[in-house]
Amino acid sequence: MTPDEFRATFVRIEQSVHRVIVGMDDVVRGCLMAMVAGGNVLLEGVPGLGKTLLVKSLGDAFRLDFARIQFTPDLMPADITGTKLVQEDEHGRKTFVLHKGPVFHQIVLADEVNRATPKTQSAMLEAMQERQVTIVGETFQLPKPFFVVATQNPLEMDGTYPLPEAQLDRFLFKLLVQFPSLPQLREILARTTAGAAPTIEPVAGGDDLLAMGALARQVLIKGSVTDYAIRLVLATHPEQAEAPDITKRYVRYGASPRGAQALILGAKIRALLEGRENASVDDVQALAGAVLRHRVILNFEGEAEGVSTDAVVADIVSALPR
Amino acid sequence: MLEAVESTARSAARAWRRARAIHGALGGLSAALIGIVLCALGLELTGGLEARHLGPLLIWLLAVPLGALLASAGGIDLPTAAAEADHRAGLSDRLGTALEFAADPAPLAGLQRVDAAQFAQATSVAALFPVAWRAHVPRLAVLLVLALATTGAALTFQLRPSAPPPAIEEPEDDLLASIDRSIDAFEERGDKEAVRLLTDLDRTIRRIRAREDELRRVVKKRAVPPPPEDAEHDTLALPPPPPRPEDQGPRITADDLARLEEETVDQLALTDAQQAELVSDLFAHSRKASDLMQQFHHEVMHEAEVTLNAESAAVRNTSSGVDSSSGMVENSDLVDNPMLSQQSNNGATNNIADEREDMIRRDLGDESQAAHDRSHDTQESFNQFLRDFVKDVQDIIAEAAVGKQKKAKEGREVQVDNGQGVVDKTDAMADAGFEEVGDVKRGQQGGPPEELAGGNAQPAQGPPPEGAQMSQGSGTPTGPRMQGSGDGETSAGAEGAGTGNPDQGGGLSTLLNGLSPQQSGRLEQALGQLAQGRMPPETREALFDRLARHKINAGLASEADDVLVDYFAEAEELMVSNADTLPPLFRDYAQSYFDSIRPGGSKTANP
Repeated sequence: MTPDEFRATFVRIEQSVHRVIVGMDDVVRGCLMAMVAGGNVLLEGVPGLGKTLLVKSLGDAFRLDFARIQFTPDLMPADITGTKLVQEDEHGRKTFVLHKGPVFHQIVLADEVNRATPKTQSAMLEAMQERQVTIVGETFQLPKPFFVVATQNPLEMDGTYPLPEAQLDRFLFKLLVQFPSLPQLREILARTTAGAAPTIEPVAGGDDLLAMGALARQVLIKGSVTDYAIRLVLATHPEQAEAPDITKRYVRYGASPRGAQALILGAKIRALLEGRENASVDDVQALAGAVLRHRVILNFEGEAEGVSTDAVVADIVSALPR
Repeated sequence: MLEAVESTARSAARAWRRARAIHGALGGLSAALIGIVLCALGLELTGGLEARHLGPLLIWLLAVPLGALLASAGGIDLPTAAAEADHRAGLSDRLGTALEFAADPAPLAGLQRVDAAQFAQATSVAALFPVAWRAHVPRLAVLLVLALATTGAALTFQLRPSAPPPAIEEPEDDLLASIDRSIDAFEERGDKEAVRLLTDLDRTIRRIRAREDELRRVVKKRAVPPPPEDAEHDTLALPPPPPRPEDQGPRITADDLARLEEETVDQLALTDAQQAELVSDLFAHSRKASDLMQQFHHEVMHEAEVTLNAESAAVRNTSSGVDSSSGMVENSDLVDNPMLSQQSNNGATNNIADEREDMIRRDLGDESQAAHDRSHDTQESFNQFLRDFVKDVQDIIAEAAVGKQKKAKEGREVQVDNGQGVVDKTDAMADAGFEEVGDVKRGQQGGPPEELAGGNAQPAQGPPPEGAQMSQGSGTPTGPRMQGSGDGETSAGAEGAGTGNPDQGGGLSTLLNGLSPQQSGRLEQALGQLAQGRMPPETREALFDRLARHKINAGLASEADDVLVDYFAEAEELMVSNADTLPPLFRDYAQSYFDSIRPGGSKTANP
């Protein structure tokens, strides 16, 4: 695949998704970039904004199978990964038969992931990171490509189990689903309340997605850009001498090396989308919010003053020299 | 492909370096203008900016090329230039990445180089490194205007504050020059009276200055006692005259001269009628003051004479009693008990002193006090009187030198180192009109007769000199000469014979210290006693200090007063230290002069 083909495929998928999804350009692009990079996405937004429809549309566009898991407090790990059941054949013999869980789909929507218990969350997050699951002592590889989109409601926090920092770090991007604007709402109503709902025709396959990911990893990035990404991650740590004042004041813990990896991968994909074969500092800066907002943990003062991690990251980017 | 990228990077490096040089030159120009302004102000405030300073000020312009060199110093490599060009042109690190991966054979790297070359060829490097004229021009304009305004104003006007008038080393020259200028000015105006007054003032100042200089030379010369003319004769081992500070009065500054000139001009700016009235008042005042002064002195001395005559009569009676007692002591065992005789003598003299003080206080009536008050009002004429006195004393000193030479030629015996010398000295003093006082007088001064008397001691007559008193106080005779001096020493003042006051030692000092500036009547009395040569050195110094403070407090101090006070000290020392070497006639003349000049020091009758 050439860069031009990369850009053409990417654009086709975006256009296909946008036949169903109105607005949410950044969310759609972010999800596609994460799929190309082989990462997972955490979507945060109130219910009813089309998160499930977005994920299903992505699967339809790539001809990938899609599964949705509604996380509830009584959800068990086996409900995600699957289990072995005793099954009697026609001869009356009883054998253990594997019943795969929804995690064995290529695109998995973990809806309201913070409502499940930590044990169930861990089972899901293990599959996200290891791309494999263990069922009754037997390990099974997940299909490729494998893409998990988790959602969480930022408002209804009662009875939830917020994801721990170590599990948040497993998501490549954290994308914020904004409420649609008036024109977007009008378009949504026009598409869904008049006539048949639009359908998505597949424009790419799983192989195309893997090829796009392989091409993106070949994008050139010079040392100064890599150094900038590293310095950016280090700047999120308050114990670092180079950290800006806002970090030292409001941040309890900064991004992990996975954050730097996400920055570089995202910058490379964005460079291809911008028509370049080299990543630049601009690409890193453009993706800093999506990569770092869930990896920066605020301290008590930051939480008490209502400081958002997006504001902290924006200040860090503006304060960090190129 | 890569050549285009490298060429663009090199162009960017050159343009960047040029922009930095221009920026540095502009910064240097700003610094130069600031330096010119500061230096111009500094020169103006310190010594005045002049046209000759403009050349050195322009040296600051060397900061322009220096700033350009410093700013452009340091190489700019291609990656750095490419990165800067990427940043300024918004090329998203295309040029830098192409240069960094120039040798990368990957297909994507080749595609990247092609992409970078296309953007490099489409980029105008010169526009990427502009010179920020807008940021420099306003500042430079302000600094240029400031520099021109400062320099121009400093050259045109005097921006520095007026320097304080420097202390003038020779204020007399400026004073005389000021008088000369004033004379010229009044000559042009035709004011002959003012010219005459100023001419007199100029002449007076010159005369006073000449006398002061001459007196200083003489005093300085006399400060070191000359070696004895005859080694065989022991000179009187008097202590050297006390060190005297040289003219410690306040220095005349330019402010004083300016004030004096202003006051003089103000006075001389009077109308003709006012000037005539002022001159008339001054002359009348001076004459009246002189007359009142003389009258006051005469009255005070008359009262003192009456008092001292009465006191001398009492002393004579006491002295005769003591003489008879002394005769008995010489032939009795009481000679071993000197304390007894001393106590008796002290008791008698203390009574006499108390009576004398009471009489003086009682006799200073209203009339004397009024005369004394008038004398204060005429202190200016007294000052002039003292100036004349200084001149006369200089003549006396000159005559003393002549008289000493005559004495050496005549070989007159006035030394008192042995018994024969005492006789000779006594005869000489008697010939000169001096009289002797007995042991009573010496005992009244606080010294026991045994300490002064030698084996062939004669009864001391007349008050002992200051040196002898000091030796008595210490109780250690200073040698044979001192002993002989104690035996037969006489006072230089003939009127001092028989008038010794036991309170003239510490009692007089206490009295003087207790005097207030307004009580100058008693101060004048003390001066009269000082003229009689009966005052110990420490008391005399206290008196002179008192006199100086008195005049300063009264606002009457002047340079002539300082000279007079200094002279009093030196003249007294001179007279005492040369008491036995000066011709008696000269001493008589000098003492008479003292008596006639010193306030309250008119000659009193010798009982």
